[in-house]
Amino acid sequence: MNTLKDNLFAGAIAGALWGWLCYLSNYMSGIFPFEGSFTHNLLSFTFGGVVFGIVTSGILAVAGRFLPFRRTLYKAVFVSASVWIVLRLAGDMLSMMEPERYHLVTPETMQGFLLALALGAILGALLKRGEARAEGNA
Amino acid sequence: MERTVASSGIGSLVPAIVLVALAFTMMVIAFGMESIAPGVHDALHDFRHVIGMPCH
Repeated sequence: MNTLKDNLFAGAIAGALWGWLCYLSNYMSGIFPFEGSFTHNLLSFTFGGVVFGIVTSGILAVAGRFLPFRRTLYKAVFVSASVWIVLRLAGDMLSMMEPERYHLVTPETMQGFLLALALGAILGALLKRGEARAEGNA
Repeated sequence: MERTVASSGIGSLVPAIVLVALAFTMMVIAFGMESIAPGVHDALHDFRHVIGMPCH
């Protein structure tokens, strides 16, 4: 059994790993040409990843019991993808209201959705490992 | 069934407050809300593009 605090901690670790995965994925795909330096991006991707990871795992901790999945991995992927979709839909609305400020790019959208699935997979794997460790200690 | 939130006490309140604050921070990052956090747009510009959020 994971407490909310355990979930948030796992989310922070998963988020940091995910941030670096985001950087590597885009470096390899070249979908968005980086504008910042490596050091700046290392910090910003880590920070952004940690924030996204903690929020995703927190929502999973609170709402996970209501999801129609048995496995933690599926729940984590579902929550992560849902959070990303909600943010993206809000971005669509912003783009409609301020088209000169918010532009939508399809390749970045596709990459972002796949990365959201990856965040769920990383988080689910970490949580499952934590649960197994807790059961082993019990 | 996972027991995710402690039944009572301040022990569960603090993580819950942190979670709400970070959820707001996530929105600020995702949309680059300069009016709320000056500098956030430039600081996390590449990250926002890579994860597919709208930007200029």
